[in-house]
Amino acid sequence: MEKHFIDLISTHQRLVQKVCRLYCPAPAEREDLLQEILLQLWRAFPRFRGEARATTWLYRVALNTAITSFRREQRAPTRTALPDDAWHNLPQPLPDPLDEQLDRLYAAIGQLSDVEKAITLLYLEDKDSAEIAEIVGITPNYVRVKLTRIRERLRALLTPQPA
Amino acid sequence: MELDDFKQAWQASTAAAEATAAPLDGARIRELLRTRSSSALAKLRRNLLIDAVSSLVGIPVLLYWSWQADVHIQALLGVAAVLAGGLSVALLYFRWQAGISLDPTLPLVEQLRSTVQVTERYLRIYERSLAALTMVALALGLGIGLILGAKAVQAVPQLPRPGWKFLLITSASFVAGYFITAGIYRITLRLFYGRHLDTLRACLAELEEVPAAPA
Repeated sequence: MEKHFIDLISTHQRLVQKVCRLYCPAPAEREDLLQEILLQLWRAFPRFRGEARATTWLYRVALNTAITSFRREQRAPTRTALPDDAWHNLPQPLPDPLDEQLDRLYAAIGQLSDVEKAITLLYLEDKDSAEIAEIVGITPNYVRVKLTRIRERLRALLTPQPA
Repeated sequence: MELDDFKQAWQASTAAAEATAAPLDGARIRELLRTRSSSALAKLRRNLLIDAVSSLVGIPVLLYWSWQADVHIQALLGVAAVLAGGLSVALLYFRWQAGISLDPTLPLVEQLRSTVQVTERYLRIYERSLAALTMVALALGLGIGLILGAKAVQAVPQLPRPGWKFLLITSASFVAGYFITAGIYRITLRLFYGRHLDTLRACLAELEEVPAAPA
């Protein structure tokens, strides 16, 4: 069973990583969420009979965990003072691997509600209204209504504001 | 740029970004699965388990004490042992029930509904059981203190029978004490879990909203 599980996760690892990236922009929290999603997937795996599509099952568990189980901590910034010469020893900043367009899109989606984020992710991943409805648990008609609202919100967020 | 235009850009860019992330191979998955759950409900369940085990551990201590104690105190300690046993069973039952009522493979809206219900019920039970436990401990402490005090001055046989005024005032104080303690626990639990519960309720309300009919 363990091998089957590892094969499934390895095959669909991008799906899990996308959910983590969307709900936790900070890398430390992202790792915690990844861990929590894998735990929930592993616990639910014995009941996975392959009746549902593997991606539908994975999206359900990953999104349920990101939205309902995972509690994002409000970490207070550390206020420990650095020694005076610390600034000289800082490493050079690493280049950002993501292009500007994706950054802007992630930033805009980051301002949506948790539910809207889930629907947007599924839409961008080419899921149709019926499959989104199956994962989220609402009617396909309501998915379309939500998508219209999301489009309007994203349009407003991505339109450059006049200076 | 419209959302639809982003689809291709999204798929291409996320594929590139995820390709640079640490791969989820067998060794990494096994390593990640070795840790325990850090979800809000898992923490709450762990707290319930700690409380249930603490109550269970308290029973032999109370019985051992009552075996050596005075006959008057024996009765009070017996009551305490029964209450501790009852509390442990109740806490373990609620912990087990939450474990079976939450299924992460359900659609999001159903999962949200059960998580909100279970979390609300848990917090209520936790708050009430802690408040009741505090008041029971206070009552037992008071009773044992009175008996030991009377015994110290060898006045047990002469202890006056409590009048109705005494019983009324004591009962009212304990009822008021219960509500005050429960309120304090409610505020404390809200500090820890309130924000998370509010977020869950907001998500659920958003999904349960009835879509407006097209114009």
